[in-house]
Amino acid sequence: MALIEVEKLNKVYKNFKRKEGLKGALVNMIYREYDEIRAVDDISFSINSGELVGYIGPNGAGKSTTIKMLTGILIPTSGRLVVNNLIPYKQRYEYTKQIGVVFGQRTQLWWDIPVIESFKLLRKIYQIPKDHYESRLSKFKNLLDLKPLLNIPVRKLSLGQRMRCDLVASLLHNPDVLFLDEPTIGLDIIGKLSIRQFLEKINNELGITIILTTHDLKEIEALCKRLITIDHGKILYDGDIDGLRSCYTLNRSITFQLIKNFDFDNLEQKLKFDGNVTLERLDQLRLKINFSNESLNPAKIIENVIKEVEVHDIAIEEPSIEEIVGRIYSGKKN
Amino acid sequence: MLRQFIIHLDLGFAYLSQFMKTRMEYKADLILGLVTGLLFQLITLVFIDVLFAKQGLTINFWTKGQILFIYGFSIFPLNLFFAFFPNLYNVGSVYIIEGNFDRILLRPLNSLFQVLLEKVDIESLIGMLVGGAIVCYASAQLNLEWTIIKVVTFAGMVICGMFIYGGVFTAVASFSFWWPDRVGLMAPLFNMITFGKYPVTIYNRFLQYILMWIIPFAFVAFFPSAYFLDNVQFRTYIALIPVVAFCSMSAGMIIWNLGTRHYESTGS
Amino acid sequence: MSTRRFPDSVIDGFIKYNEYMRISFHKMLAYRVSYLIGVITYIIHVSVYYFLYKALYHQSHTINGYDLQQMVTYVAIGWISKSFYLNYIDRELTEEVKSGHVAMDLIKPIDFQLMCFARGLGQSLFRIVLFTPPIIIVTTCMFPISGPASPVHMFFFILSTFLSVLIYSGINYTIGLLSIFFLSISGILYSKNMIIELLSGLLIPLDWFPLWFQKFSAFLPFQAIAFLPLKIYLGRLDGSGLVYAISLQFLWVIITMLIGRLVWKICQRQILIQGG
Repeated sequence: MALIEVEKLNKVYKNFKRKEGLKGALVNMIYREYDEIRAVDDISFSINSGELVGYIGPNGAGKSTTIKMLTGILIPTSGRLVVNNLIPYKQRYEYTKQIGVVFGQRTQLWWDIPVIESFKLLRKIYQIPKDHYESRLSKFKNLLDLKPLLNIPVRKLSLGQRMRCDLVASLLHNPDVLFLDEPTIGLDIIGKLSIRQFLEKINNELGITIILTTHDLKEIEALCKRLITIDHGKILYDGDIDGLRSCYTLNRSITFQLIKNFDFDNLEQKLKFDGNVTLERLDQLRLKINFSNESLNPAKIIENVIKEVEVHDIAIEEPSIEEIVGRIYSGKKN
Repeated sequence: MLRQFIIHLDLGFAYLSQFMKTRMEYKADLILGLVTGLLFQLITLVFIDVLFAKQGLTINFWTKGQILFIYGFSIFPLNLFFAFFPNLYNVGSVYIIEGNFDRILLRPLNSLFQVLLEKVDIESLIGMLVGGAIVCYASAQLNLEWTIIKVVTFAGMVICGMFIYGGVFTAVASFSFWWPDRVGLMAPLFNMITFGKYPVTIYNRFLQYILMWIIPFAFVAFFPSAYFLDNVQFRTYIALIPVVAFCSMSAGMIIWNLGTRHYESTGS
Repeated sequence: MSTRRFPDSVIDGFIKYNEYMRISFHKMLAYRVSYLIGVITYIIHVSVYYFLYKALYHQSHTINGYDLQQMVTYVAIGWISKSFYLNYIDRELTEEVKSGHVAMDLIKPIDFQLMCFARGLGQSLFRIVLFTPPIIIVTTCMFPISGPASPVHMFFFILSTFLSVLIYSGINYTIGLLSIFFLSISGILYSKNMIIELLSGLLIPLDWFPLWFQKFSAFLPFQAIAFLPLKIYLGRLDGSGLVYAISLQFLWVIITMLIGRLVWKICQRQILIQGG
């Protein structure tokens, strides 16, 4: 049985419509209209133990709402949601002991007290046995290089430092599942990298199931085997990244670095491909071939080009995941 | 049950010691808080004094000494409440509108307990010294006799009073779960505390009914004081003080729990 | 700091600062619940003091020269006029300092004090239109209140209450500025409100106080906020007394404004050093 099961999950918000102008403000005092907003619209998926899943979508797509329902903060309007045989919002106490949560925008630690004191309080709150606590803390301390940070109040930490501390705080009670809502937002490249490596490690070594939302698609590409995209509250794609690539029509290109100057028109006539292919001369020695991935594969093109001219180097440009996701959001499929 | 109690008590002390440390960091604020608290006491004291400036005046036969006693008593439960429930004031803004309640819901602990523990104003307890002085002065004026039993009863009634305030304001703070509003209902209710500083008999029937059975502030200071002032007229009500305290706090907690189910975390 | 001639800055002020008034007005309308609650709060205050004074008068007809009718009128009109002259520019200033917005105000070509006053007036305007009327209706229905002593007294009462707004704004502005020097100022603001309630004579007429205290409070601006206007309303001031009271209020308007400007000068230096 899957660890996380989501079936026909919905969340509907009521939003107060604010009328404009002085007259509107007066009307608002007496009578209010509400808009219904379907933040999450009938979504279903299941996640197995040990998976590392990326959950992406543009702002306001319903990502955070889903995460908040999964973590038991929000009660679904309708639908079934079971994690580890528990219903998050109903069995909150038991459930919170089994999950770790990190919100990139907001710290879980106490603002004014040193990090280590926050950890000690968490130990008491979660009733973590002392030896477990010590061993986990020392392990994470080394992995994330926390030692110099432990005695500093959270408000004095930089964003990256704070995030590392938050991550450790969310793992002290040995959760089965870790939810991360934009964990690397606003971090620099080094900060992102260290968190990425850490997540990979705890997923591999400790077998913690990780669900993360992010705007950084490179992160998804580097970390996640599986990807769920959501927009307007609906799931658009659920599967692996390669599957996503083959699922969409995408432009790819190959650039050839030639040894000798070449006759472009001549070459263009000789190279005849089926499907949508264009040739382009970049400079005297470089030729670029653009094609779509529907009918042709790169090998075929390379084979043909090598027959005609002497090639020094070949560069194949893969479609970037940004491009794919951009496509998904703009709603164009094929 | 007992184990749970000990765990919570232990946690309470852990939180307290942490936040005491941070309080100490802002010394100027601490002193300012103390001065404000004392001033608050002083203003009402001056008011009562000026009110009775003319000899022989009474408030519906309640003498100046008796009024002072009630006022002195009322300082105790109010300051205990200020010390341990100040965070209720932030529920609407900090926790609900700014979404910090997320963090509370992610921990395996009672949410009200967590919110209350995240801020305490221990310095408010100093105000009780003023209350003590007023009660002593009034007792001397009225020739009241104090026994050990009376002192213990006094402490018990003070704690009941704190829970009456606690329950009422927990309920009111919970309304922010339904109607997120920064100011909320706290302000007018806070002003209603003033009603409880004076004998409930001076108000009209309608207000008396409200202060006894809807927002039971009459049980916080007036009925307890009536006990020490040997007023036999209110015997039944005096006996009801712990019951009212229990009901008030329970009602507050029930409404809170209903409210948490209504919590809609901000952002999407 | 503005170096413009006075008439210019008034006309200018009206054009520029009425925008601030409009915004404050809107802000207050946005919170329906707070509005209702605000009205209820005033009713609670009047009720407490009404019943207290009623109980106090149960044996005597007059106390310190006031009969019950006058006392009830004093308390009710006191809170009604408070619903008009009250503003929150002190709290807003504190928030601006905290968020660092105050540094932005330094670079705008407007007079900071006038801007704050315009905000205060905006709030008062809102209150006189939407807030004060329901309070007047409910209190007059619930409690036996006398009308003003005469039309002339009513006129001077209105003028005098308008001056209260300016004095109250002047004090609020100066106290609000102090937040630049303190980390947390809520305690100071709270104390200020309580002190004004007592020393302005809102809770109890100042002529009930011991003589030495009355002499002392005559040198403070607070009595000009509530006690003087209320005395005018009750017809306890006539002729030269009336003229004296109004001139005293004018004097306090000028003094509080000048103190505000002085404190702002000091604050500007502080902001420039600290960067806001």
